[in-house]
Amino acid sequence: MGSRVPRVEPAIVAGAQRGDPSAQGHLYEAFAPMVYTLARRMLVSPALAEDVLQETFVEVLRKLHTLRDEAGVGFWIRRIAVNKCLMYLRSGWHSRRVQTEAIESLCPPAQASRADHQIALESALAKLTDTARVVVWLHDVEGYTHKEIGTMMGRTTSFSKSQLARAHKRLRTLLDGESPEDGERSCTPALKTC
Amino acid sequence: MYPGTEDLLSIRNGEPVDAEARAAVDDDPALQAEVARLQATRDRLRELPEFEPPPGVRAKVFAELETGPGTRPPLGAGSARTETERGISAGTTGSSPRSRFIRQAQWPLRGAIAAAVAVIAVLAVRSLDEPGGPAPVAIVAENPVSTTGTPGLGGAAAYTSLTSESARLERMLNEIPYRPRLVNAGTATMISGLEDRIGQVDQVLMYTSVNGLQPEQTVTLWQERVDLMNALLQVRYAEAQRFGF
Repeated sequence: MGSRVPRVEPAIVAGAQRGDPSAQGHLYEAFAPMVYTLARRMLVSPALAEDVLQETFVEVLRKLHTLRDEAGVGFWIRRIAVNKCLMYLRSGWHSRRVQTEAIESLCPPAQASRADHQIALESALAKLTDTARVVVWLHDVEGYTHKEIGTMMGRTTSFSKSQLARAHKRLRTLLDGESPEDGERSCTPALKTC
Repeated sequence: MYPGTEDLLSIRNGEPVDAEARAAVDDDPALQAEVARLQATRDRLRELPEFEPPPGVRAKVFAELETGPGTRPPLGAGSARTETERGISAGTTGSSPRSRFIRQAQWPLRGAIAAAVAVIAVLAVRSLDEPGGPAPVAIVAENPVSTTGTPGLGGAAAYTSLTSESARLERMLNEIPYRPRLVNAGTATMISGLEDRIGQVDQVLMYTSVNGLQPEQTVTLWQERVDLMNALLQVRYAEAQRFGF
């Protein structure tokens, strides 16, 4: 699931901090799915998410020696990834055309019911505005507070709350209006259910 | 008072909520069902499966680490790879109308870039002058102290003013339309540099309690953020003007 922050042995973190390639590789393998999933859910585009994944780990491995709390390495990595995503969204390079491309590849019609609903939700999430999607994901899944989200986005706590409400209203409209049985589905090959 | 979605979400999240809103939900099965639906949506979001990272990224990461910093365009600079993947058509790149347009509109952009360079230079000099000041690239301070980073009464006004100004600039930036897909390489580098710096400042600000920043250091960082946002706004605005918004 998208929000889980994996745990790794402190010895792995310590080894990676010393520059041990094996430990660094272990760190990448442990956290890359979390970072890539977070980026896909925030940015939607696979290409942009791949950029974020690469940039995040380059930064993580370059700055790992500054980390004092080894137990918090997962949260630290997640935080770097969130900042990268927000920076990308803020930069304006993010194009709605890219989003549309990313979410509208078709799935085969015969899918398990659970997967159908996940795909419908995935598609609805991708159709939210950037801000609403980021807020709903960071709050409802990643567990950030409204205050933290407001600060990260340079906005207020109230802004985060109102965006969350807006996101849920929009999700409801999208999900109610687009039953999985209606035909068109979106998926990506990288998604494990597709 | 009829509770809105924000109230229902607050109830779902176990946050404090207006007593009337709470009473309305307690009395109305339809509202209770709505809270349950919001809860179910959250659960479904949390159950979405992970994506598998694309193969090859690990190799790229380690290759980049070996070749050292500065060999890859920074995030958002529009690398050749991602531009190709994004399917940017050749027809939009370097056509003669665009070239003419760029020539006609160089001056505002150059001025904005000069201003941005000046801001960066001032910030660099400032950080040199204050060796004990916060270093935005440091995630954790060497000697954490017990303060929370929230300015006291003396700095509260400045803190409030700076955070408000920062939010205002953020809003103005968001109002500038999407950036043209291809821009001058120097402009892209400048914008990316400013955005990276803002990101670094943001990162330190988020960790004020962990970093043990003094209140005055927090204010200094917010001041730096406002300066950087101003510079970024100028460059983005000048850039948008070139393309007629």
